[in-house]
Amino acid sequence: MSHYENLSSYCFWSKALGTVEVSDVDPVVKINTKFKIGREEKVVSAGSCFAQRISSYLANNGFNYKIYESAHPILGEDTAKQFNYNIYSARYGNIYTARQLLQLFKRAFGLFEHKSDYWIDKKNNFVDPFRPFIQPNGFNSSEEVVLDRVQHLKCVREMFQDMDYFIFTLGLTECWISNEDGVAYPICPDVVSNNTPSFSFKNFTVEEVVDDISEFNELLLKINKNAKIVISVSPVPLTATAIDQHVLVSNTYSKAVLRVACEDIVKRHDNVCYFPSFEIIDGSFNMGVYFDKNKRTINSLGVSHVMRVLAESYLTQQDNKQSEPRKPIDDNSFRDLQKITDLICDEVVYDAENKNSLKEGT
Amino acid sequence: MGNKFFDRIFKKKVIGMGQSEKIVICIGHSHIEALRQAYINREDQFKFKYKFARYQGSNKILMDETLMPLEDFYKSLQRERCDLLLCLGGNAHNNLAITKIYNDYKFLLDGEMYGEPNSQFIPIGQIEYRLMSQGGWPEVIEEYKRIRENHKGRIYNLISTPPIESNEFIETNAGPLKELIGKYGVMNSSVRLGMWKLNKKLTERIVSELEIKTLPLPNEIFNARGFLHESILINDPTHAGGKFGEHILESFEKGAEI
Repeated sequence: MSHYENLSSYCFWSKALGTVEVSDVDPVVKINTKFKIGREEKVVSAGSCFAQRISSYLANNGFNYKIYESAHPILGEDTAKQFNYNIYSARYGNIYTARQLLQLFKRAFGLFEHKSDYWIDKKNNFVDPFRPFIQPNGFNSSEEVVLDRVQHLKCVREMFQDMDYFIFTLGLTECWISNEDGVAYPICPDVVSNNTPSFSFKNFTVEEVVDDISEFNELLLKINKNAKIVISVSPVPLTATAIDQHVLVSNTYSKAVLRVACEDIVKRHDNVCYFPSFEIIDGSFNMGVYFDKNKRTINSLGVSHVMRVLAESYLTQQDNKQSEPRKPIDDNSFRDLQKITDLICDEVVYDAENKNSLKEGT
Repeated sequence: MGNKFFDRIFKKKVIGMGQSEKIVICIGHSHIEALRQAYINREDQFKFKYKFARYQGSNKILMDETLMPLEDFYKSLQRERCDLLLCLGGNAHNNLAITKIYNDYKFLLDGEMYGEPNSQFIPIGQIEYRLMSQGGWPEVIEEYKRIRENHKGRIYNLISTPPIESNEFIETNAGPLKELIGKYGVMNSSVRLGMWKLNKKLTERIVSELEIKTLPLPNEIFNARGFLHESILINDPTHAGGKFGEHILESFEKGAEI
């Protein structure tokens, strides 16, 4: 009897993919799911662009997706959206690399010192180098950048201390690092600003990604001993590579490094498991059907396939059903706020001095 | 109506050494009531002749005692050489800063912090975005543009009344806000002041782009901390009355080009 005779059907391409409808492919098997997430358990997320799709789904489909950094309710839903609240559990913007995640954690807990507090962008606005697109049109002053960041990091601290599950989507290995303090930026600084500290290009290796995530996990467990992590690799290809080679070649390196790193990380840490969103979207079995015409962005069909598998794999059976979508912040109080306009914007001044009441003419 | 009405309204009376009496049309929403009240109280003491046009909904205006289509009113401005004194909107900031519907907040404006020290910090760009998208601001901007398009003469803009400092005064003179203030209480006075300053700054920026001059506010209307002076309060949480209007018109007459 050969080794293969006792293996499950999902181990065979012909049975797991060749004869299965594209939309029915489910690459998550028991070994990938070390845990199930209960409806009440607190889930947070971060990562690259694709992570935004995941957080939006989690928030609306049976997971207790927690937001730790909300817009002040006086701003209303539209302003909150404009200023990038509720995209992730805190307002950190996209986190593309493992190093960025590690540094976010360390900054939040005072374990990482950085020198540059702000950049001035090409329109002369003040920008937070750690999340350069978080505030459309920038901040008004360097003081404002720092004040908002202090508040943001307080929310990040609370998030890591309080959450049960952290879903993190690794996006890139290519990164730009500050030469003065080692900060890993989410974007090449000279795209945003003409006046930044010197920086260098860095393309992370498997070992570096593993080390960064491992260090992050160890620090996380020190402040939240029951925390669990679901890691994945973003299926969205690189927009551009900084290396003088074809972007497809760089993309393959990047995704391969991240994928291998995930495998290693999962083996090392009992509280971490891997979710194969990359495989669902990028697997040759689907013949590219999950990409938009630009061959890069993921269409809604692909997103729903990934999310269905995610829910089926990680939500406990009884919880795997559609839940109430997250309520917008508009509530009775907000309606009362709107009333003020009607009450004071153009009412007749009824003071004692108002001798002549207004009369309608013809 | 039409031309005859406007001829009567805008006709310039010849006075003294061949000088025309200057006519100023004050256009706006509720805040122009203070000017109208001042003029009713002391008409003979002002150098200029004032007319008052107050918006009534989105397409009508009450010019003195005559209600007319806004379109007709704007067209009439094309023919007239009188000056305009505007005070449009002016309460948008109060929506966010007068009742304590939500928790306190703080923000930084021109290097100064406003609001409760231990509350949530809001970057000013977010407040600005929110402020400008509500409280009639989008509509008011359109009206400013239409006025500018229809009137080639001098246009001045009056910033709406500075905030009242005393929470207790606002509570006891809540007027139309009585129910909401009773339910939620009054916001920190520092927030009121900061939001008024922000609204003023935005108003100045918008009118300046339309070549509308902002009327400087006379010192007499402020107390030492920059709020509306206690001597000119009326029983209203957001508006001022005739005394305020007198200070404004006197200041306007001193500073306006004749």
